[in-house]
Amino acid sequence: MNERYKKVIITVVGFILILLMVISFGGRDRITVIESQLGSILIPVQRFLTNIGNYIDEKTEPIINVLNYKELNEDLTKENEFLKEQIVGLTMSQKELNELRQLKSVLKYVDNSQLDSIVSANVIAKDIGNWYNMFTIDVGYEQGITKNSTVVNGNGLVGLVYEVGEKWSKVIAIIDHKSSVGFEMMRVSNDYVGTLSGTTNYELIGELFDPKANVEVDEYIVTSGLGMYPKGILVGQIYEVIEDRDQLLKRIKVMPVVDFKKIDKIMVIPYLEDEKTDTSEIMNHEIQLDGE
Amino acid sequence: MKFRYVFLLAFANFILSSTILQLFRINDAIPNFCIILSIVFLALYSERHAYYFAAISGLLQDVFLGRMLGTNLMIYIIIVYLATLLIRVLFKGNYLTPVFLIALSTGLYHVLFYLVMFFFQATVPFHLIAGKILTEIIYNSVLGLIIYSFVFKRTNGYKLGDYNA
Repeated sequence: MNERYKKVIITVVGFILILLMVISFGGRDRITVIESQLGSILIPVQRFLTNIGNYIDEKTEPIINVLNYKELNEDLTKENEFLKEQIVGLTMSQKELNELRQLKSVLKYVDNSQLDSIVSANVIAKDIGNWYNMFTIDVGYEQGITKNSTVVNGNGLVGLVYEVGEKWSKVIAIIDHKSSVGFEMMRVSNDYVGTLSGTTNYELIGELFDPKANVEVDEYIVTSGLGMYPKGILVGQIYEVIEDRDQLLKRIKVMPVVDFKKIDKIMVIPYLEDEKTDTSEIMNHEIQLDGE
Repeated sequence: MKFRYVFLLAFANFILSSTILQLFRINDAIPNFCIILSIVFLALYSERHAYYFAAISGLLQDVFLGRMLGTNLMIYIIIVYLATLLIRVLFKGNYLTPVFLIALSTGLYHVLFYLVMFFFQATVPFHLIAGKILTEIIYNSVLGLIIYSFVFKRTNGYKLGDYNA
C-alpha cells in the first residue's frame, strides 16, 4: 500500500468517525441491533468475571484495610452518637407523619408511585479508561429501562442511564455528569435548593440559588425533583462551603454517599417523561406494604 | 501471528480490562492494554496487526463504555499511525524503545482525548486528572516493557537488549 493511498484512507476514516461522534454524542435512545447483540454475547462472560473480581475484592479488603480500622471505628462511634440524638427528634416527626398519612387516606390522595417498575441489576463492566466512571449493567429495554432512567443503590444516587440496549445499558455516574442534579437540603425547615455537577474526582460541586443560604458542613443533601432525577434520593454530604462574593453565589463541595469504586448491585427507576416519581412516596408505599 | 488471534486478543483484552483488571487500579488508574499491545504488534509483528488490534479495541471501548462512538477508535488509529512513523527510525532491540513509544502514546492519547472532549464540551479540568494520567503513563510503560521483552524473545529468539546475539 503506498503512502499517499494510506493517507487518503485515514482522512476518510477520520471524517466518518467525527460524523459518528457528532451523531452519537449525548447518548442515543436506542442503540443499533449489532451493538445490542454484541452486548448480549459478551455480558455472560463479563458477569462471570466481574463476580470473580468482586469475590476477590471482598476477601482481600479486610487485609488491605487492616490499618484503617481504628480510625474507621472512631468515626463510626461518633456517627453513632450523633444518630442516637437524631432518633429522638425523628420519633416525634414520625408520629406527626403517621397522623398526616391518615389524613391523606381520608382525603383519598392518589399515590403517584412506580413501585412495580423499579428494576434491580448488576454492574457487569466498568470503564477501562481513566477519564470517566461509566459502567454497563445487565438490564435493557427488555426489562423496561429507558434512556435517562435514574440509577440508585442502597446508599443513594448513582447516576443516569445513558444508552439502552436489548439486555444491557450504559450508565453515567453523577460524578461524571456535567449537566446538573437539582438538589435540596435534607432538613425540615429553611430548605434551600440548587444544582450540582460532577468533577470526575469523586466529588460534586454545587451552587445554591440563594446567596444568603445558611448551610453547614456535614449536612446531607437530596435530589429536589427538578431535572431528570426523582425527588428525595440521598446524594451526599457537604464537606466544604465556599462563599463566592464576586458572583454572589454560595458554593458547596459534596462527598457522594455512594462509593463509586465499589458498586456492584444497583436499582433502576425507569424515566417517564410526563410522570415524575417521588421516591419518598415509594418508600412510604414500601413501609405500608411491609406493615400489611 | 494469524489475524484471528489479534481479533480474539482484542476481545479478551476488553473483557478482562472491564472486569478483573479493575482490581489492579493504582492511584485509581488502570493500565491501557490497547495502547501497550498496539505498540507491541506494530514493533514486533506488522503495521496491519497493530491497526486491526487498535480498531477492534477502540470500537469495543466506544460501544460499551464510551460517551460517543468513534472517539477511542480514532485516537488509537492516530496513535498507531504516528508510532509507525517513529518506529522506522528507532532500534527495536533496545529497552528504551518500548518505554519511549508507550509513554509517548499514552500521553498523546490523553491529549487527543482532551481535545475531542473539549470540542464536545464534555471535558474535565486537566489538573484533576493529571495525577491519574501520570500514574497511567508509568504503569503502561512498566507493563509494556515486560510484555515487549516477552514477545521480543518469542519472535526473535533472543533476549531484548542482548546486543551479542
